[in-house]
Amino acid sequence: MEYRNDIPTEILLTLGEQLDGPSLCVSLRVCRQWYYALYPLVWTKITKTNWCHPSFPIYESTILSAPFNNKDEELKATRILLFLRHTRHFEWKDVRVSRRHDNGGHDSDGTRILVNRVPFPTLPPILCWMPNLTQFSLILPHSKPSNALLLSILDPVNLQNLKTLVLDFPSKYPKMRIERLYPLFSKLEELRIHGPWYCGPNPDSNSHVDTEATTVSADALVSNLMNLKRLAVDWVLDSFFKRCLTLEHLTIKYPMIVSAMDESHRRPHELCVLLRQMPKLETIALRHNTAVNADEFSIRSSTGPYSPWRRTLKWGEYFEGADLTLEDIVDRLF
Amino acid sequence: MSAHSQILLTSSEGTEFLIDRDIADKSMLLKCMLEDIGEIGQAVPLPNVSGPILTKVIEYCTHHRDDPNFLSANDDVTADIDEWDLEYCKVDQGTLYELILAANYLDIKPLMDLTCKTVANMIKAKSPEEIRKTFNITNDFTPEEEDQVRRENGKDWVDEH
Repeated sequence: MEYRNDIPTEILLTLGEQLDGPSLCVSLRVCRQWYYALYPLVWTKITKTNWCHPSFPIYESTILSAPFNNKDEELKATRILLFLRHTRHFEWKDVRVSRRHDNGGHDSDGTRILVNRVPFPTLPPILCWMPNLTQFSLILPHSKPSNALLLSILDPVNLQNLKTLVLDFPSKYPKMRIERLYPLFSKLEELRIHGPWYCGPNPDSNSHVDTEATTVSADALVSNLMNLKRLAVDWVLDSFFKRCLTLEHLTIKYPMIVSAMDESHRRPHELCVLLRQMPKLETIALRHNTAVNADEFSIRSSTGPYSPWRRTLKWGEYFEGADLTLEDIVDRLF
Repeated sequence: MSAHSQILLTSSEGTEFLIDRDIADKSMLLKCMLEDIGEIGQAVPLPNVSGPILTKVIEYCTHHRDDPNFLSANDDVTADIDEWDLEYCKVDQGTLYELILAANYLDIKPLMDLTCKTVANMIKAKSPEEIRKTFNITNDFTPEEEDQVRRENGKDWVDEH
């Protein structure tokens, strides 16, 4: 068999994208060609466990900018910036994990605590260095950061190429009005929000009109139209759904929690009216709150507000059974 | 253009394959070519693809013929490979490598992702030496370079997982 030291670079790159961090690092040691092709990919995907890893390169964002104290610092910064330019998936969590550490039996205790070395407030400058970021997951710390900090992290100016955003709010998270994030949301294809989220009157505006009232002008609505194709949320926010006319896949938890802070108590009929305004909607997935039951999917093959739905077991696969109406599906939420 | 038009392809050995236009369209190379120059009624030569490999490629495109999410099918690298695809990739390593080259040349992204994912699964949990053996790659690092690469990207990373 011939030697394969000349695998085309584009093939190596596709292969590299399918590897997890540890396998990628091992692959760098295979041969020169693999090393040079795969090296920039090392931090393409930054997962939440990377943050507390001893060899994670971004310990402090301050080292990334001049003035540098010596040549070594400058080299290190250049290396990290190369990684960050290639980062496409990025997941942040305030990790604090203890791990059994097997050190050949020499470690008497055997456990060590790994702490996230990149604190939440250092995220905005780091995000500035990731121009190619397409997917960002943020698992928010339990102590609520200031709104200003959160908004500077989720600044659309930095997240130019972002397509997918995952926000995970802790269950007892203080009230955060989601409208402030609409400029960012309006650029996304996919949005997943876990935990409580709220819409309502903008606290900064002097208008105290309930957004639920139909006094919102058509112009204001159009200016904040979303281009989302996929949306996953724990509960329905009326004023947000009105903006999601391009939605194709929707995932909601059931039984739906009706929040006192939400603008209204949703009724099945009103929700159906909202969903019928989304002409491209083809999949509705219901996820049980306790996650004991598998997701239930309903899909439809033809478009049109009153076309029938079918229950399925998987994305895109029909399940023999009776046709459903939108009302049948929505009733399961309550 | 008729919806049922057919395209003639010629593999590297000169074997002819007649396939439906919608199957050919799964390959971005063929799709763009057919859109640019139209169907000229002559066979399209594919000198880089052998007959057995072209048969395999056509089998893949035919199975996923009506797949609405064809282009985004394997985007999620963490998702499991579906059963048919898994069975499809159970070929010897030489064939798998030829398939990757063909998918790359014909520009069929889902097939490229699938075959690369299969190879990636073969790499996981292997040492550099085992990877070299698997893919028949020579180690062309000098001992000093190898030592440095190991220090930079070595143990502490891997031990944690």
